[in-house]
Amino acid sequence: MAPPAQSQRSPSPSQPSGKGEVSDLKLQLRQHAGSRAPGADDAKRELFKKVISYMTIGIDVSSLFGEMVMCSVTSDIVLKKMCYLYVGNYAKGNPDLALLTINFLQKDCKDEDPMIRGLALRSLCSLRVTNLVEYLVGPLGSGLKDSNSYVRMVAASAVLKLYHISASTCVDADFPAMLKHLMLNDPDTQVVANCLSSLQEIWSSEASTSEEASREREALLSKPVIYYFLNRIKEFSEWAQCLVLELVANYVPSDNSEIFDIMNLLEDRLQHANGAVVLATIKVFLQLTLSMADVHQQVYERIKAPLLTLVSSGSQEQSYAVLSHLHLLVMRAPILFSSDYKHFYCQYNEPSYVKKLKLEMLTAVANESNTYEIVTELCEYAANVDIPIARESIRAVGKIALQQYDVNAIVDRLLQFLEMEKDYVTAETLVLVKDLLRKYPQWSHDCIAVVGNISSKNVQEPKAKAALIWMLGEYSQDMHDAPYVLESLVDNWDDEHSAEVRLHLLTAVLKCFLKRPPETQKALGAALAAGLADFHQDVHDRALFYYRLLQHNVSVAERVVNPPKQAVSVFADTQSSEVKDRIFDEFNSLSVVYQKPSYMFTDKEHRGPFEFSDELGSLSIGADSADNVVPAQRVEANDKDLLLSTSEKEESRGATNNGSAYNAPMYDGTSVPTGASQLQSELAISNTMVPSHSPSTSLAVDDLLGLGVPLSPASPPPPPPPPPPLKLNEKAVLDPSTFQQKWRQLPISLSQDYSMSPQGVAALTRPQAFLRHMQGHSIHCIASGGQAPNFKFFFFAQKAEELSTFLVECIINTSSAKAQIKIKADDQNRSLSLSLSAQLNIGIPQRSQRLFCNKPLASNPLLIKLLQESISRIKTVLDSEDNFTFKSSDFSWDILLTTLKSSSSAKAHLVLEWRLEKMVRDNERDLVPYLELIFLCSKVQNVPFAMQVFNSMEAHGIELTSSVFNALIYTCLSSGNVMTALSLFEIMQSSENCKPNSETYNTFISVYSNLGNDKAMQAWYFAKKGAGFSADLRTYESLISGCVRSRNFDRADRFYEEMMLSGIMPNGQILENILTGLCEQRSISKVEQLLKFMMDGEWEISVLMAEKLMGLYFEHGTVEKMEELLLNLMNLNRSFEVLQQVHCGIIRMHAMLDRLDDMEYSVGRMLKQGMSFRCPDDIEKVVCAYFRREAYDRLDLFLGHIKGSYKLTKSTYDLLVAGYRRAGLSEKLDLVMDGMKLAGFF
Amino acid sequence: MISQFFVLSQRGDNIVFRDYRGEVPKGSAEIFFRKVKFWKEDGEGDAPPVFNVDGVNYFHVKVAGLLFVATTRVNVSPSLVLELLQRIARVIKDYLGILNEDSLRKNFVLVYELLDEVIDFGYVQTTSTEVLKSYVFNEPIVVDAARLPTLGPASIFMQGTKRMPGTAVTKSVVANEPGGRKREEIFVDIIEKISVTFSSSGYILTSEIDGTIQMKSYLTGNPEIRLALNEELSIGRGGRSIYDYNSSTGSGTVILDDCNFHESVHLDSFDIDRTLTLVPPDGEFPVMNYRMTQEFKPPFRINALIEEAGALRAEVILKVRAEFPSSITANTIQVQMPLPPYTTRVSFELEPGAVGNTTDFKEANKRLEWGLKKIVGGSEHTLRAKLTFSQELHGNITREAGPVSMTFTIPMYNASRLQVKYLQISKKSKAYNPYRWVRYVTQSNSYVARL
Repeated sequence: MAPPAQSQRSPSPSQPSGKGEVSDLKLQLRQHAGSRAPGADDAKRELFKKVISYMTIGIDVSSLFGEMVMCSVTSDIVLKKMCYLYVGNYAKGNPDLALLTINFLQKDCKDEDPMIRGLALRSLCSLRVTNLVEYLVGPLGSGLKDSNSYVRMVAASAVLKLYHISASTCVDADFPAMLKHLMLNDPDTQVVANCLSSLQEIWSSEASTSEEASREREALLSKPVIYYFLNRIKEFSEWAQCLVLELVANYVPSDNSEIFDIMNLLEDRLQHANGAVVLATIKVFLQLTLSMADVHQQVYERIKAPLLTLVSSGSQEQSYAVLSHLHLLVMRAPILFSSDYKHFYCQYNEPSYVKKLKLEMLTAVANESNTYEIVTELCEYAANVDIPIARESIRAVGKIALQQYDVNAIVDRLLQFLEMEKDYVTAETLVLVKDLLRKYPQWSHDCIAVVGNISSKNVQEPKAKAALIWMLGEYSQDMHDAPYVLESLVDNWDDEHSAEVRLHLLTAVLKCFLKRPPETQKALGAALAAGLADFHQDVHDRALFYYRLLQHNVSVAERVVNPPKQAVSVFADTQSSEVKDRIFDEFNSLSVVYQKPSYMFTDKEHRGPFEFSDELGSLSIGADSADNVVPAQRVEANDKDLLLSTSEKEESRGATNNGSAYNAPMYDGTSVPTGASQLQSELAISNTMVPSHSPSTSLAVDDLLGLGVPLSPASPPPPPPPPPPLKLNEKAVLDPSTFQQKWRQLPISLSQDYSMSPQGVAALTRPQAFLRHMQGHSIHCIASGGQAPNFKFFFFAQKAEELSTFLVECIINTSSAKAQIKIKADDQNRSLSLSLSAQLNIGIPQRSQRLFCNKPLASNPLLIKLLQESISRIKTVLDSEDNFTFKSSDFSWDILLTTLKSSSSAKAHLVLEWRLEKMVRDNERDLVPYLELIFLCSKVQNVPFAMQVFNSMEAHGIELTSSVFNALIYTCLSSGNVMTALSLFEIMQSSENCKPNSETYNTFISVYSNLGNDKAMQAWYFAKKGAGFSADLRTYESLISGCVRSRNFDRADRFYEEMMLSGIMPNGQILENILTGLCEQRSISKVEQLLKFMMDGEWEISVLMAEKLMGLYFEHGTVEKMEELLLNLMNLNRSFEVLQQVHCGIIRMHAMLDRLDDMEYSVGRMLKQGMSFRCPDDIEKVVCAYFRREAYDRLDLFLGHIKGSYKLTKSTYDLLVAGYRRAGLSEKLDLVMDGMKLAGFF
Repeated sequence: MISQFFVLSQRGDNIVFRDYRGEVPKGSAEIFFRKVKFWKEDGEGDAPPVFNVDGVNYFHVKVAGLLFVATTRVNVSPSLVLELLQRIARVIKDYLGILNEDSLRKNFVLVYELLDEVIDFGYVQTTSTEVLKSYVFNEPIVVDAARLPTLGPASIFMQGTKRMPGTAVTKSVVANEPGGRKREEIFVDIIEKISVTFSSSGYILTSEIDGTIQMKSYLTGNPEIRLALNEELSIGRGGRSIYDYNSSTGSGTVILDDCNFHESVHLDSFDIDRTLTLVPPDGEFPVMNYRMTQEFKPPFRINALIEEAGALRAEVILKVRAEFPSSITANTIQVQMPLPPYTTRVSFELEPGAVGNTTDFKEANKRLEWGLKKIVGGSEHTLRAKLTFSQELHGNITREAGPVSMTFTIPMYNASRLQVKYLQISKKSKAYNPYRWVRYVTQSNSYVARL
């Protein structure tokens, strides 16, 4: 408590110096110790106050411990509180004396006043003395069961205190279980909140050693618990709400409708005056919608206004915390904020930490439409009295110039800065002008004219001086007095303290010499001499290097020092993207304010409740993260990325398709299937030696660059043969030590690399989701660890029938989107490992990106009206609406309701209610409108209302039929209300005239099929058969799509056969599913069979089928089959799109194999048929092929050909730019640039 | 979750110090204070409200010249902790009536009582002044209100206007009036901070109003309150750009960009008739915060001119015109203008008959300061200043000086035209008629004119 540095501060007169006063107090306390006289309490109060105030200012009053305890026997609550405070502070240092207090605290714990009980319990557990824990268990146990909520509330956090003193005592007394019970049952929300925070801490810290605790911790994130909290959220205090929201942000909903439900429920939290609540809510919204790009964007739009309001209300400090978060969002998606730039203007009275953030935001949001205004504003700040901010502003102007294409006006502004003749302005501007010239050499003329006027004497800052010298060297032919300025600088060599400046000076003098020898010779000599004598090693070395170079050959020196400069296209970003993502994941935490992820500033044990632990030995994960890259190489890397991106897109499509397209040349295309699998089995072991990040793509780039790197045999193996299905034990168990032992003993039986989809990577930011996913496939996690971007997981799985175990190590690098998997197995049979790996592959999460928020807003004026009206007016609006609208053919209740539901479920409900009321009013007797209404209920998942419709049907004496029940069941099922659906089914069974019919069973089957629950689906199928109904087309359609969805392909095939046998002809949907299944299984022969059947029967081939087929052929590298398919399709005169798909597939194949001739033939054939490319991807493949073969003229021809039919995208242009730049073809580069300009990409 | 909470005086003394978890090493207050104090000397301006030293995160807010600090080792939500610190300050003020170093020192035992219940083992339990009442047993020792500056925007009512009972805003929620009787009253303050930037040619570049409706209730029995705002009030500017000045819809409409509400507020009828319903808890709290960028008439026009007058001389003319009704008076006006760094001497010339004006040239930061005690609506005031330089001018003098900034307070005036139409207290008894105070005030936030 007492700061050690206390004595360094001169004591103020009001503060006692210590010793004397303390012993004085001791005496007085003794006098009052046993006194019960009237007024004694008042005297004690004064004394206690003095003690506490000494304690506060840091004087050690622990020597009074005994006296304080003696005085503590009192009924005066104020005295008690002071005494508790004192005891809590000093007990730890006086464990023996602390025993004295136990007695009276324990007694107080049984006081009849709940306040005293609570206070005593709190103090008792705050003593932090290990050998007293035995006295805590009893009072704590009864405290948790106390009838008063205040005591329970205190007890709930006291459990955590006990845990921190002695974890084992706490766990052994079974307190966590009691807390859990309280959490889920206590009526008082603060008790619940304290239980939650205590449990989170306890379980997180236990999780590293106890399986059970980690399961419990996971269970906090289960649906029932989350919903329990969410449904009560408004009863919680604002602080407890933050706690709940933090928990919800980690929850992974099962589907999108759940996401929207949660967001609707929490939306009003965005209007809360407490910024912490709002930010916690925003975090939930952002995390939930990560995988839904367009909804995610809508969230940004929605949270803008509340954030801005928080920034401008409240104190400067609060507004800073919010502004930091706004800053993060702006940096992530500047475009979304580009019209809000005025909010980021600095106010003169803001502290500089706020101004800095705002300047960065202004820089980020600058685009064509607002640059002028932003730069004008920034120029105002440049004249600011606050010099650091003035500097930042100038830098901001420069950054904007570097990120914009039209820099004309900005350059003028910068040059005006130089005329201001303020030293720091000049210095900053010079540095910027230098950077600008490196990117836009075309501005040299204007800049040089101005820079030439600056006297080097006015520039003192090393950075600025270096910039000026660089310009003098680089543009010495344009600056008349460059040699002389340099000469005078060399003359003052000894006064130049910065090595950076001296290095620049050496280089500049040499450059100048090579351009204007006679004038510079003298300066060069002096510079080299001074450089050779320089004490700084780099300067010395560079001078020596230049000297030898000149000695060797002047023209070589010219080539080395003065080659034509290439403009720098992209300056490196200072922060890597995975660091940024990590910060984003830690939204609403200090990471955002510090702008670094938590692992950079927190110790391991304090990293928050959901940081996962790393166990199982030392997990040294490859130090190959991008952080280690030297900045200079970043620029290179950036250019590479431009190319890489296209091939990576390819990879992410088929996760197992590791034989990346670019590798194909190493095999003879036709013999790939056999040759490759042989090769693979040989490579299986040696492959593990290869570092995980030798992705084929890097080879591809090297290849593209024409570096001619021999293709090493170590590149990843081609796709595995179709693995046999493997049944795993769902409840497998294995203890960590056995795992470790086995892992050491067993050889690696399989090692594979995977690429992950971007969504998969996004999902991995919270490993729980991944782990749960794996668990879903009966693969259990035993340990995990690592920090972004590298994660490491250990899994195990057991075969269902026998006790054969598989051990899996999975290393995932989220930045490169690669996963490496090593499998070790008891059973050394490789095929088993392969099938396991296929299952693992399923496990790498690839969240689907279905879009739920399709709002066809503009099309429906009524809808717009309803969305705008307040809830109370909904029915009035509907009443006033012309009947005609509802009868018009393009009016759909369905769309109206689903859209309305997504913004307000109350409104949707009102619309339904209105319809029912209307029907009742019109005395509707027909069954159909009612049925329709029930189906509408299913669209908005409003089961209660469907029941209401049902009731009013009964009330109106409308005859109930099976179809009414079917509709109800459908509504229940699609709202996830299985119980009601089942009881409805029972009612049907027991009723007279509403027996379940074939349609009833179909409903169940189709809903379970959609849910991907193939077991339940099949159960209903058998039930249907058992009830004497035969399966019809709809049944089979649901069955097959359900099986395919849950990847149970065998079953799907069997159902298909069964259907064919029973003489039912399939429909397009079924065929599509079957084909998809076959393609997934890679059974090419069966695919051929099916295809033949379809061709014979002239079945329609859908675009999706074509895509799957092309994917399959592509993997197998069978161009012939593609051609065959094309021929067949052309004969049958299939749809345009399908043909296009096939054409592009063929072209892609050829492009991958670098067969330019074939490729060009195919392109020509396609164009002749009046079709063109579908997506930039295909074109980019072709372009890459040309680049690899360095066939630039042919590339030109190709581009010319497609010009008429296809408009190139920006990414293609970027690819061309990068390619030509690599090849050093500046003329072509210029042409492409012109093309881009024409296309409007600048 | 926080580890420690403490309050430091301006000199760095601990006034209260509470360690909740014992995880942060001793001496944290000392480390913190040194860091904050010497931050500026590292050339980085003020210390940010949150920083990290050796793995310990320090949060602080400045209230009434005191530093309210929290420490933690965990990566917590900064908003939560800063919000909490502010709230603790408010709760303390509710109890002490006045928050300053003196009152805090006198009442530190009471503050410990509060802190005990506000936070338990680092987790926030409650910050409700009302709930805390049942846990607090110390009587506040009241300090003399008149001498000391108080906390919060409401304190401005203390100055200048005699209509307001001065004690009201500094009354503790637990203390009784002399005579043991509690006075039934409720205060509703509409406080607006306005930011305007004028370009050199006098037109408005940006403008914003940040407003708050603050409430402080001393009513017994927690009656329900209805607060009616302008019916012509719309919220959210739809798809339109927020700085779209050409789209003023009708003259009567007040368009807020956005607003948020205290959790006690029910918005059931807000959409229909713009009334807020709430049962006000004890103590001071914001009922509603709002933000407006709709065009409004700025209360002051500033005209600033700087001209060279010879090689080493220049002249500055500052004109301030009050554009509000003459029934309203602004007070404590301060106009500031940075002058060129080589300015050595300034002589001022006020209008004949000017009273209550002060003029000053701050040598250290080369700044001109002009103070006016009050400005009556509709009047205009001018200041001329002759500058003498130590070196010859080069370049454009307007780039060397300015911008002109202004601070002021205008009681009974609000720029947004947002109004509380009525304040209804639901209580059955006829005799019950508590005092209701609805007060408006406008303050400058960033009021700047460029040269």
